[in-house]
Amino acid sequence: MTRLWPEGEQVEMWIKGETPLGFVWQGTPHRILEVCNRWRVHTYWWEPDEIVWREYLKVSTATGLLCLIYRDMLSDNWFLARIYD
Amino acid sequence: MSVGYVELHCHSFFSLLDGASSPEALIKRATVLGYPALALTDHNGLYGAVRFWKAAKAGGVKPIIGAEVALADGYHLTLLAESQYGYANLCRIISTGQLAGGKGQPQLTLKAIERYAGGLICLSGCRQGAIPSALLVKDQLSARRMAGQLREIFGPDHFWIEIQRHYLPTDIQSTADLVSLAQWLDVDIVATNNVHYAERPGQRLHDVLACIRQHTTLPEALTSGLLYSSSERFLKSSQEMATLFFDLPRALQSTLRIARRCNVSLDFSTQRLPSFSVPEGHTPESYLRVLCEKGLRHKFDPITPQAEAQLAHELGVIEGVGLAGYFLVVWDIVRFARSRGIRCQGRGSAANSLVAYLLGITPVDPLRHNLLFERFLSQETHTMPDIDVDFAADRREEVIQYVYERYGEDHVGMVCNVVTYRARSAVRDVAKALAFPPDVIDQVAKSLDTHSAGVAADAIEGQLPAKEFPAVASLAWQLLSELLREMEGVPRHLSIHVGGMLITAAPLVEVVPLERATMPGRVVVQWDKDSVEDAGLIKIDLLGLRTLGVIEEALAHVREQQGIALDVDHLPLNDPVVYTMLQQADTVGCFQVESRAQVQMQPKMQPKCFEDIIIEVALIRPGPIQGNMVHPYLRRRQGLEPVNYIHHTLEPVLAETQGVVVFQEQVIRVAMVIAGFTPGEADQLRRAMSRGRSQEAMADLRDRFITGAKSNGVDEATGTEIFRQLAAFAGFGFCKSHAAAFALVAYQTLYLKAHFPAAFYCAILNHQPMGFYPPEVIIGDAKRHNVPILPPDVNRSLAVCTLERYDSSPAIRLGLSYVHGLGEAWQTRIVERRGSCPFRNLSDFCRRTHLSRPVVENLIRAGATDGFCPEQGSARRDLLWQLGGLSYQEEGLDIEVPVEPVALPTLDLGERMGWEYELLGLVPDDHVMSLYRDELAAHGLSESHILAEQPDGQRVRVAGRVVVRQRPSSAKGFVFITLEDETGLVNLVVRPQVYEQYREALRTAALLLVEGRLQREGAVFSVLVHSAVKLRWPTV
Repeated sequence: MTRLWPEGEQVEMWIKGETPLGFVWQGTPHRILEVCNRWRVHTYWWEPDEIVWREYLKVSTATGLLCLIYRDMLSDNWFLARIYD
Repeated sequence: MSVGYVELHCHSFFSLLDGASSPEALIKRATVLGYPALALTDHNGLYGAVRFWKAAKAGGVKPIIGAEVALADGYHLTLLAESQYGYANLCRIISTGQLAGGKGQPQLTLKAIERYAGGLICLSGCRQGAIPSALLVKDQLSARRMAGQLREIFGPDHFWIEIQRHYLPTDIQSTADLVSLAQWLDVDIVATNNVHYAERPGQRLHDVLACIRQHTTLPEALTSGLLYSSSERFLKSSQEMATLFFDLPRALQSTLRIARRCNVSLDFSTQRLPSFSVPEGHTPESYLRVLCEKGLRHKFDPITPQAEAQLAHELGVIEGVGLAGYFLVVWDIVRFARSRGIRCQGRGSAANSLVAYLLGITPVDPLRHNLLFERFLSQETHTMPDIDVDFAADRREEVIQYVYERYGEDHVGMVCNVVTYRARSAVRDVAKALAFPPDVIDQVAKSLDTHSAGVAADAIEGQLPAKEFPAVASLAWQLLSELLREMEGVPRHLSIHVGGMLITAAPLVEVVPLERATMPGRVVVQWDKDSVEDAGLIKIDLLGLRTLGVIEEALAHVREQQGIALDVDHLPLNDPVVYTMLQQADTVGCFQVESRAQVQMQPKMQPKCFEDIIIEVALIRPGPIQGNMVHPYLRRRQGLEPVNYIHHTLEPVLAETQGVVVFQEQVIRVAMVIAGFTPGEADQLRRAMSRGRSQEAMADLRDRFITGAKSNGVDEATGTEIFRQLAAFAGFGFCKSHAAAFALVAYQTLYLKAHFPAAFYCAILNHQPMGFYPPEVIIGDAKRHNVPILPPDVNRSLAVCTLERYDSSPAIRLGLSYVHGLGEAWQTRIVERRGSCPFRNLSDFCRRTHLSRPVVENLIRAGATDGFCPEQGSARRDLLWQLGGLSYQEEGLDIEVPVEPVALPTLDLGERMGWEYELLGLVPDDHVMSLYRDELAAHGLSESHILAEQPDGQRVRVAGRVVVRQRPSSAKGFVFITLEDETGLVNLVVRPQVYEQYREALRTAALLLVEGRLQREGAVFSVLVHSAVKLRWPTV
């Protein structure tokens, strides 16, 4: 079963350069083992309150999670969108 | 460390409604990013190639010329020209695809590509390529087959597998598949970014263009999957590409290797014209000499030493630059036209040439009018000369056909015209994409007073009509304004240039791709006139001028009606009647001298000789008026200001124009006289000045000018001042030879109006639309010149207007073509069925012509059947009543139902005029203002001719029908309106604030009443408007 956060759960990200190393979610650190896929979405620019500009990463973690995190390109904050079971 | 990168798959806005950036913007970004080279690969064409090539050369970036071609099955392929041979093949491939399909729907096969694959590098294409498409659906077999075919066609050294990464979820898989395919095929991989905009924010315009192309809105396009979901298709830095292709540096290195191999030039100056077939024993040069000497003997009697010397000089220059053939080609075209009785004459800078005059191409003697050959051609000129020829508009097509037949379709093409977005079209299309409500879009578009999308953007931003249209958020208006600015200059579609023809030595299809024009059977090249010139090619402009047709027709009338064979091409140019007409501004209908601006100036200028007409044509235009050249000239001419010259050596150059620089030829002469420039250098100076160069470029020119001046004994301060004046005027200066050629036509029309008015007005009415005024003003002027106007009549009219005797003088019978809604077929039918036996009555008319009832009704209401009713007063109502009772069919028997005569109320004058305005666009024998005259007089308003007697400053009120509305962009918001009443025309001047206050009336009223102050200067007057109100149109 998948857990989904439509609004995104903000997480604290560790990055080295452009490489994401891990994130802290609900106090627990999750080191990233592999970036399985990566894509960007940039749309709704015509609705300033609804702009979506995100980079999505599908990652597997050392803590055994397969999840979808994204970076909001406007605010530079990171969010957890989904955990795959 | 980045490897370096060159973008090899890049679209400009010449990928219509797809690419969002100009070629120049792409090059500019490429230079910022440090690209050594950049490719342009627009869809199925090389429309922007010359602009791109030119900008690249200037920016120090190597241009790579290519295209993304679409195959018949819809798949895309990227082709790059490796060599000049490859470029020719690229043109052939594109042309083949374009000409095989219908307009805008190219049909290209692999077979055609195979035939012309030499010298081309092929990249496997974007996601819409056959190979990536197949791989996307896991169809390895098709992918391998297609890839194998392309490798076979192009060879392993000329075929690359193209890989793009746009941060899509499918990138990883598609890259793996493509790399695997490349390995299997033993070909190399190359990275591209399928660029559609120069920088990331260009995504917005790109999305909007996609919506326009798909006729949808942004939200709908998004849900339908018609928009790219990301904003990655911009020119990326080598660092960004290195990050993207961190695992495939080889793909980046390929871009540099390919770029190094591609070397193409778009300088075709050696292609020029096909060789002209001259009589045996001659070369083009010797034959040109023979023709010129013949012309010299014909036009100069006796032949002067000056003419001989000038001819020798010009022939020397023409031979030196290798253009003898060009002159012969134009001479031949003009010769053909005249042999068919098609009136024509050359215009523009070519009229500076004695050779052109002797060949009969241009009509003015350059020696007599002190013209300057070097304005047209010199040894140092690096740009190609242009000979433009005007032909009678209604017969120009015959001339174009002759050129195609003479040189062959392979060597002749029409130049295209790039139609860019203007304010209204941009607002409509962008606002629709932004999902504005349709009625709001309509209102905003119609309210615009400008043609420029950029100016419209300012207007919308400034006003932000959020309050007026609450259905639309203010942020949406902001977006609209921003996007409109970006739409400025964006091509919308291509059309054929009005008369530009390209004739080449090599087959045209190896120089520039061809495609179908909308006109059947017509083929157009993919370059516009600027690109053609920048590529070093020569075009000939075969233009249509309706006035030439008017003159030809007027001459025919004079011949038929009065038995006079008038030779307007050899009139003495000193007819006092002509100059009196000009001085009194009685110039409605006359070429170049009838506009409001001209009419305001003529009484001040008081033209007395032909040279004055030349000056008038050159000077009375928005540019010189704006540049404050006109008033100094007029003041000096009227003796209100002394004529002085900054340096005494300028007197011979500027005496003809009272010391004011008016002509481009004078700019050249001043540079020669003061700074010692050669004629060619001086023309380059003029050209540079008139194109508004950068500060640095102007400073450089100034230095050279002043240095030259000093060596001629002119001090620095004087030299600087002269340079400043030249620079200020150079942009507005007019080419004297062009003005002279036009002045001759102006004189001919004035002469015809003065001496043969009926023939003249009849011809004008038969060549509409043309000129400054609509037909109703023409007939008003005709009536004021004692030429009666007779309404269209089914028993007397032909389709065109004709001359008739009326009270023993010539009158104009309006043609049936003037009845709205009466098509050509119906007009012909009426004339044919009438034959030599006039229609006896309405019933006879209907039975013989079988015209449909609504059409007959229109004819009745327009007065074309007034002759059927003896009682004028009730004629039309009676006939309508009769028509109602008449039963007739197109074929077969007609049954007439007897109609009981009924006494019907008379048609009142207002209703009758209303019908005539509706159906003819004019009232033949009266004026709508006569309906209001009594009431206006009761309120103290007088007819327009009374104003002519009022003093300057008098408060006046006047009313009339609006016949002209002008808002010239050079006039700083001022609006000019011309009213007409029964006695003449009145010019109104409206200040911007007044226009805004009375906008509705001033913009839309057909009948206007204004109050204001009379402004008079001598015989010239106008009304400065203070307030305005619409008059209601007469209704029943």
